[in-house]
Amino acid sequence: MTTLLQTLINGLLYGGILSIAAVGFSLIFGVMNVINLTHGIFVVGGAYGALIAWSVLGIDPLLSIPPLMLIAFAVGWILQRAVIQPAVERGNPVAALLVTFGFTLVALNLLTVFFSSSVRSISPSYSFINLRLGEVSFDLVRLIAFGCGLALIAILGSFMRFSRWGRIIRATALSELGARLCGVDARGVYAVTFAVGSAFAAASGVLIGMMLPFTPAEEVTWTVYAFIVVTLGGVGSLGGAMLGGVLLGLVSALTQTYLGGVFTNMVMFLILLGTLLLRPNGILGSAFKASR
Amino acid sequence: MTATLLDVQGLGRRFGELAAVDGVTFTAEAGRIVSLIGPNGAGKSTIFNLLTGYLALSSGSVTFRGERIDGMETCRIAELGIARAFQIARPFRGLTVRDNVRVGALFGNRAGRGSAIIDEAMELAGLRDLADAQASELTIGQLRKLELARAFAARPHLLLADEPLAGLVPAESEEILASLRAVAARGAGVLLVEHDMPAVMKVSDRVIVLEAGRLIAAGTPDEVTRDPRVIEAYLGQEA
Amino acid sequence: MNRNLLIILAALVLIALAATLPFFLKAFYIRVGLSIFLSAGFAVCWWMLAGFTAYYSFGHTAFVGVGAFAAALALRGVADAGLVLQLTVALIAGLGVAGGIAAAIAWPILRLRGHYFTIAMLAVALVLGEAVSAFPVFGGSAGLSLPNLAPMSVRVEAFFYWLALGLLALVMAIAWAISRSRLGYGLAAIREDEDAAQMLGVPTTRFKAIAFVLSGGLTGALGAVYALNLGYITTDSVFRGSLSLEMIVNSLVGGMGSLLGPVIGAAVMTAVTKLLLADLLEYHLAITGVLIVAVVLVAPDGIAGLWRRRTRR
Repeated sequence: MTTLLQTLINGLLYGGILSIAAVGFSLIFGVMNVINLTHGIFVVGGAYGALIAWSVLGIDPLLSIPPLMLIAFAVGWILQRAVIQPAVERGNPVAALLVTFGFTLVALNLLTVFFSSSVRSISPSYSFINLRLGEVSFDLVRLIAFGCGLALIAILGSFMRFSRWGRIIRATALSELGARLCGVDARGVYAVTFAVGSAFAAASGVLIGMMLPFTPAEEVTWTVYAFIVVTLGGVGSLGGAMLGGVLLGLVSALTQTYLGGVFTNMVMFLILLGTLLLRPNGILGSAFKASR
Repeated sequence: MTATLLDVQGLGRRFGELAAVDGVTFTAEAGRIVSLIGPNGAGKSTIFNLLTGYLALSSGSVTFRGERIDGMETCRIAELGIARAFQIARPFRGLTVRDNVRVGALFGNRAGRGSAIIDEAMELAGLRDLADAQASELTIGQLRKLELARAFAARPHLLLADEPLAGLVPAESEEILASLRAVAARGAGVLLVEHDMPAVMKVSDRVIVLEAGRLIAAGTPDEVTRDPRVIEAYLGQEA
Repeated sequence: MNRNLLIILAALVLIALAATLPFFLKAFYIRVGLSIFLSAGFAVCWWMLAGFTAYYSFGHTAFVGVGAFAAALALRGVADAGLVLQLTVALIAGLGVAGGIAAAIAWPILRLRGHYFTIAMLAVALVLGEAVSAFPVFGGSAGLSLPNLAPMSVRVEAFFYWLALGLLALVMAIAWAISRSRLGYGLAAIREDEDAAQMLGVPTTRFKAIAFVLSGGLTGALGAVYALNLGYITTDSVFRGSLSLEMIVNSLVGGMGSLLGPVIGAAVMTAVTKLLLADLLEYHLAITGVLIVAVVLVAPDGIAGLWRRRTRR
């Protein structure tokens, strides 16, 4: 019983991280209908950014989140305007996929050259504290990361709901033509959306870097996980990302405990495949558009 | 002795509360041109969709050359010998005119790849000179001819022509009408949906008038133009 | 008919010429040639689906891996047999198992369109890769070894060079035959407008499935050769995302519009990476990335497309 409870708690905490790691992807996919293959590299980039901040500058990773988000925002904005938007306008259905993949290769190469492929982790002073609540234990870091993740999701949520830009983005997602007719610069909106998505990806990367060891090559994993979360929970909505993330986290933890660690990835990918075949819009459905 | 190709009995299609087509009964014969006319929304295109299997019937039956085809798959119906030329042309843009027509020939009624069928179809539609042009470069009039050529190449027993004259100048209309007459002369039946009344009256052997999904009159062009119900439905329309 | 004969003759001459090269080239260059033939073969197989039907798969490495492992396992059963039998067994195993898996998933997966099909295929590759790792019968992470089929009298790299050349020729011949057949025209119609194709009588579901199974099965056969060449396979070496991506990039760089596109693209990309960038190995990922972006933005129709544009004006 304790095992089950412990597994569920682990799954929940992990799920929270998966959620925050997926929101940026979900936003970009939902609003722009672009499968952003650079997602993972922004996540990993955020982790490495925090690593530098912590090991070279002595800054606590949590404090490095805002500046890293700004950097990611800028990089994402330029990338979308200069590369992705022109690619999408070329008309090739896989243009965005290819171009985001190309960028990822470049960034991956640079990260590997700069940091080497050895495994890194960020361990601030509170990393090794373990809390006990009755029979269950959890790492303080995970709890803090989970909390921060929720806070970030809340910030994104309020931004989308209450701010002017949030409304413009949602309007454009629902009807690009309609928004354009109201004077909205759709291209500008897409650039901002992508930038916001990238910023949140980087933020999640910092949190992940605090919890798990990472290498540049991990970026593939995080892109795929984001895709699974979003496909499962629903595209374009924070609720979808949270639902998908938590479900996936629970499944992952349960599989690890009861079937063995070897099977976790396989089960997760099967869920992705199954969802695509049975309910491609995810449990909560697409917040903005149809799938086929 | 003209064979009955198509026997439509009590054809009906509902969309929720709305009866787009309601109890329509008519026949089409080999070598004859039958026109379906009626105001917009009368159900003409829906009937074509029902006949080709694109939409499922809500009621009634469709028999083609003795076989029940309601409920059959679209490609199977096409194989049996019903070809459709679309109202909004749907050419295969990346292919040449000849290849477009070739697709029609390869998958139609009597599947053949002989260039003879392809050339004949292009000739009938008046596209001989454009055989090697890219479909994406054609004008609207030429696209209409391509639609017909593709359908002709399928050597159908029954051709469904959906507003082939819309948006054409009189000279082009004449060419299309001539093509339809030639196809009928070869023994195919033609079902024509059109708004161009003078053209319809000129080319049809029989006319069927629809209004709000129901058949309100049927007969020769002369009979139909003198029918009081038709005149009432078409008040203001050129007759 | 004349034009076709000319093409066949030209092809045979080129193949004969290519076949003589191992007698003149150093081992390193023979291996580059071998790489080109394998990459080109994979690209053509991928193109058989994507070029004909516009269904872009991001998971074709699944078929490579399946073919590789099927061959490795099948060869265990004929360990003492002669070269020809072993080779046949390997190829049939690769073709059959990969083709079989493609047939099994064809109907559900081909109902998806656009992005969804693309990622679903990625998911298939991921699932299969993990499954092979997870179940010890596949030797997964420890890997499986394959016998060296090259006969004593022949240099290893030359043997595989000819084998790869032969398979490339076969795969190209099949693709070419399809493009002139009823199947090919039907597939082109599906690519241009699937609904209109259906109304003209094209059996869309069946044809898409045929293209998919051919594409997957042949990739599997090539995967068997790929494995034989490596001599030792692990999940990571044959279920590699980069294999899927190479097929796509090669086809795009060369041009999706014709059979020659994937071949040209593969030749260019492989030659550039192995020859020109050999010294810049550290940055070859980055350069590939830049190339991809450049091709998509500047030459969306690939090299073949640029050529066509120049000759038309």
